[in-house]
Amino acid sequence: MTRPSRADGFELSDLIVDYDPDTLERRDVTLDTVLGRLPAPAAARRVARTLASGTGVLDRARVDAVLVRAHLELQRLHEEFRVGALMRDLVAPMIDVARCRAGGRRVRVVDLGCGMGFVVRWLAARGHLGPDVELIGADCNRALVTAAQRLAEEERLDCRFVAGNAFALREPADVIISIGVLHHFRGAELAAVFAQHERSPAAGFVHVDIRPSPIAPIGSWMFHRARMREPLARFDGVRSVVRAHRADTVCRAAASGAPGFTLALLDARPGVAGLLRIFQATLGVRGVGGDAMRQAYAGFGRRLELA
Amino acid sequence: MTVLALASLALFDVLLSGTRAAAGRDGRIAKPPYYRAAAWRSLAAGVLVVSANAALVAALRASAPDPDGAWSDLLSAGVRCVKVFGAFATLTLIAILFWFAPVRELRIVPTLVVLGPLTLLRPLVIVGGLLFAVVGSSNWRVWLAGLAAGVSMIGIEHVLGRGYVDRWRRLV
Repeated sequence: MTRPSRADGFELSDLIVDYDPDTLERRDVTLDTVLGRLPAPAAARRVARTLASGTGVLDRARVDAVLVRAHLELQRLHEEFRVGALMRDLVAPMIDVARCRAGGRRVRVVDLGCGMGFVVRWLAARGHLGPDVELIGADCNRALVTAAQRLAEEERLDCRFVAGNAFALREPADVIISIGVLHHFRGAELAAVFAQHERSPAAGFVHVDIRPSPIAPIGSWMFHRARMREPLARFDGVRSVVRAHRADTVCRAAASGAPGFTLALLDARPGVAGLLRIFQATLGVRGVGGDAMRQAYAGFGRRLELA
Repeated sequence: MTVLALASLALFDVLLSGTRAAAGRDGRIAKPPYYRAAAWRSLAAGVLVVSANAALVAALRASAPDPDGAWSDLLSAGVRCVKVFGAFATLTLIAILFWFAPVRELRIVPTLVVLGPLTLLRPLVIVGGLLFAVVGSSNWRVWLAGLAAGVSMIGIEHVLGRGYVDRWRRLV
């Protein structure tokens, strides 16, 4: 019998919410279910226990509250690591490609698993992507989407958020983006996600996620221990790094799931600069060859390699 | 000079503590006004903390049978504190300067160096620095002043953070 690797372990935020895969209606989660899939550590199990009601079912209001607080802390991390600017630099060339295909209508950029929509709101506030770009965040969690929409309205940002599947929107995406989402899909699920890209009419995608490295778990532990207050954020933050996919894993999944896209990787092998580059990105564009893609991302130099 | 240096170091530390206490509590994109308010609040708290510690030291000196001797002991401990906390603050300041680096990637150095490891080390540096300052003294007044300084410096972030604890509620 093989032991499951640490990378296959769950994050708490994956376990404490559940949705019907077809309707995306929220389903009850019992404490026993969570604890059964979360053997360790004790701190994570304690967090799960604090979310349970007297009946043994997780209290949805408590779950939403802890997720909102954890996402606020996650946003701070994204701000400090300048994820918004990175995404702007990566998505702008993709939008140019999508513009050519859009035939004059607005280019729709959809953030898959947007959480509280930091990247979408940042792009709306500071991205300068143009008035012909429509920014939408999609997430299954209604509480996070509501928070994202409130924040966008408070700052009068030209973007919107929907509770639902990013691939099942009434008006499909031209460019699909995500940040810190890919590592939530394990094994065959990862290729299945890319297969959804293939089936969609999207012109391209940009998926940014944590780059695994030998020192990343230690660095992540230190950072989360020092900076995160929510025990859930501390646990999931470190677990995310441990679960981060290697670039070749993502590349294989993208190649098998979305063969119609020309693929490239950013910062898959950053060398010493990897100490400062904690993210990597997987990019795909449809109907554009490798040379044109390299030209579009010339500013990244050798950081970008065609897959 | 020592007193001024200690007060400056304490104010700098409370300023950073207040910024940390405010960070990760507000979801807006444009946050300069939020952080400016946090900085003013921290400075006000810092002035209170420094004043309270100064008042305690003054009372300890005044109540001593030999005020000049007590002051000399307190000052010696203060000099040792300045050495430790001054080095830590210099390291922190140098890292923070990277925020203004022309290369965007270098601007995350403060996040990697200051906001991570140094934040984790801060309580240990405070305790270690104060122990280093008082351990050579047999004057209980020096130990009491050190204890008060330690409690106030370590506790201030928690106190300042209470003002932000419920901000998330308006989002749900």
